[in-house]
Amino acid sequence: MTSYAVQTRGLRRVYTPRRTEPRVSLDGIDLEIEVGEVHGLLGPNGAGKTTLVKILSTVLLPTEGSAAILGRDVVRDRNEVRRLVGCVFGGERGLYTRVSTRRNMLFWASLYGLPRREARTRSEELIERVGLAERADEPVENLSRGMMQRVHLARGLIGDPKVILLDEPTTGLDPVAALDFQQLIREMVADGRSVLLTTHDLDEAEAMCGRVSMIDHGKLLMTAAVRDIGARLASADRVDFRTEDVSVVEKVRSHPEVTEVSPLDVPGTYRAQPASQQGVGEVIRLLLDAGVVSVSTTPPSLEEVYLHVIGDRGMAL
Amino acid sequence: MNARVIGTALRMQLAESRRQPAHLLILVTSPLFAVMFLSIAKHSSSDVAIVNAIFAPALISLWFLSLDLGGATINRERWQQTLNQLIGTPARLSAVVFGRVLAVVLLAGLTFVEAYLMARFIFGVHVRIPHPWLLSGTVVVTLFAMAGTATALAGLFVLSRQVLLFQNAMTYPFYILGAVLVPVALLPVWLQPFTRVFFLSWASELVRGSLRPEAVSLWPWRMVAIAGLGAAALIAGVVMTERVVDRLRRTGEAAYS
Amino acid sequence: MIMRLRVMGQSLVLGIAEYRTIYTWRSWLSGWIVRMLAQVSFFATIGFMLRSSANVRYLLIGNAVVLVCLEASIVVLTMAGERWGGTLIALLTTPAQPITVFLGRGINWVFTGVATSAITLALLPPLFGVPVGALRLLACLPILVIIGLAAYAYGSFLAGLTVRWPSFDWLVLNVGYLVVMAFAGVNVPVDYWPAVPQAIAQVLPVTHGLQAVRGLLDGASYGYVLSRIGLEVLVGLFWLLAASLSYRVFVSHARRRGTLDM
Repeated sequence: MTSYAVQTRGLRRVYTPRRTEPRVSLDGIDLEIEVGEVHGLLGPNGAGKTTLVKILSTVLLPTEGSAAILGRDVVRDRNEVRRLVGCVFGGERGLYTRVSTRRNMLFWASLYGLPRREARTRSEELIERVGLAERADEPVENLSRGMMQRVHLARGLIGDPKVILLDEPTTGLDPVAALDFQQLIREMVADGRSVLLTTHDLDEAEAMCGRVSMIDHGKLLMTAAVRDIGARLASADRVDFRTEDVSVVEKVRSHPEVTEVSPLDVPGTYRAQPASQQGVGEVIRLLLDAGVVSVSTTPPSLEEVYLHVIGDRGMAL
Repeated sequence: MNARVIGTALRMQLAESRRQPAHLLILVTSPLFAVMFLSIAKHSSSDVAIVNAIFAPALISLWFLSLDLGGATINRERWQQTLNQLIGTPARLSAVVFGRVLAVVLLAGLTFVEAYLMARFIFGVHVRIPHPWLLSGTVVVTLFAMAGTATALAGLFVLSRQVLLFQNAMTYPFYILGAVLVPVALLPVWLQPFTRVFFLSWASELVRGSLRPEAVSLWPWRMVAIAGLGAAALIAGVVMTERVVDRLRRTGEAAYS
Repeated sequence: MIMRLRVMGQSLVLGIAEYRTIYTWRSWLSGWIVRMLAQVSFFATIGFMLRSSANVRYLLIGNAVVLVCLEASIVVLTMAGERWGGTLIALLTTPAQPITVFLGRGINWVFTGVATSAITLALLPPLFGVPVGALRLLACLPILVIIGLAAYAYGSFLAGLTVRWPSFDWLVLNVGYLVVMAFAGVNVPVDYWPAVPQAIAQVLPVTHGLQAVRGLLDGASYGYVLSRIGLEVLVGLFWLLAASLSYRVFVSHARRRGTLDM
């Protein structure tokens, strides 16, 4: 029997804090991630991504439904699951910042039950692979954000997990550091590990993942291969421009590719929504010919993607 | 595996304490207590009081430290957001807690040395120790019992909102119950039974006994009392910590808030 | 001057409201007051060990009075709370002088401190067999207030130190009041100490005020009692000046180095 790397069935998580309404964080999630897959979980803040990661890493119990890592149930077989899963978070929290990377690694290694010699070997290997060998003895708080993130990654891998959960790992990183980190992840997972990557960044999802699931308000909206979403996304770029000439605005509005033109906050600026990527090019050419020099394109927001995607697929999933 | 985890946590704590020795506030306050107690004793020229006063500051400081560690240990992991990660490992959280606590308590054993130095060199007390092995043994067993109790406090204090309040309320009342300066026999009769369930009173009596020339009666049993009460506290701590973990997994929160 | 007082008044209201969030009546009663009664009892039982009821009385009164200082020093932590809450910067951007805002902030502790001391002095002496006359006790209340204010000024100075060295707030608080407990005549008379500690004791809060209290309870002359009160007032003013200076120095230092927030 082949088991999925990650499989959830009707997974539900309800928080019932005192004196307030119960909050449904996950509302019946059915997710399947194949072995060896890099799967993205895309959603805005508060969508339930972190809650899902917590449940999969056995830190949180589901209210209803089930979840399994490589066939082991996260509730019943929790210690086995803990040895199979590695978690990588983002940011400064979650590390013992006053001590060195090396000390952090040895600490976590022993918590995963590695005997002393193996702990030391594995730690050195990982420190080397994430490129921190030269600074492994410095206190973690002296490292830059980008380097700290690498410590998080090394720490997440110390138990040699088969399934890696990355929870918004490039938050707060500058673009260069983020790209570096993405490359590092690619190298790490080449060893046949399965990855769940949560993010609210479309580009990152596109760059890293084979398939992407979209989540919002605790519900899984759709799952699709990245290529498919990518194509659809490109068609939804918006064109922002500035002009005093109302006739130009009318010209844009009446262009066949343009679905709508709306004014933006700053007087004299507008946003045009072409229906396809080709349309974007045509609108830009039109504007430049009309002598408009202030033109820019912006990718759609996540909400717009969702709406677009849901509108297209109806009740998806 | 638990022993390994305890050892690792202990080493981690030592490494952290080196860079921020906040817990070792007691090494600064302990001499001030020594000044207070020894000045009282010397002023009234009571030899008995002087002997009783010598190591009292150390006992007080260690209990204060246990309360401090109780409030801080698990809570610090929460604030650093390492608590979830700790729970996500196969290791027991209580082993990590005990290891950390043990590291600080062992370091704090230096207060005994401090207390001796204060008495000997600042107040010119001729400190005689007729039973040095008994004293050393008592100190060691007491440190372990302290660590066990601090672990219990760590588990207990997570569940409460009013940690600072509890910590404050458990200082002087427990210095009295622990008979750290005034022997049990001089306390009100109705209070005395309560001192017997607190390991510190056994420890204090044994420490004072080792400073007096006569043989200390039933000292093996007293050691057992200290060790036993400390072990019971440790077990309670393990149970409470596991309850904290369960609670965290069920509700997403560690404490009632 | 009126403007400053009004600012202080508002700070007081804020202080009380904050106090209420930490303590309900019940928790104050069970937690804090129990600890304070136990603290004084701890020292009083030393008198048993010394087999002298005179000692019991001496220790009991000294330690009951010093509770005012303990509680008034909590202003140190109020300051730390300001930093952590990020409100310190906000306060310092207002036109009010920082010292007046801070002075009002923690002054509620003075009054609770006086209450704690008074309750202790009312409850414990009879229990320990060394009763104190009720009328004399009432007469001590104003002295307790003065001691409290002097101790508060002292505490404010300590709080200023924590602006400069914020991670040492617990250390400063504890050492600050333990020094008073050790040297200000709380447990042993001031003249027990050699010259240097004795000299230091003269400028510590509680020293003179406690002598006034002891004098009043033991039937000393009014002249003596009043002179001690006067000295306590002077000590209070001294620390007020020191606190004001230390704020000015440390706040501008922190402004320059940009360390006002955490």
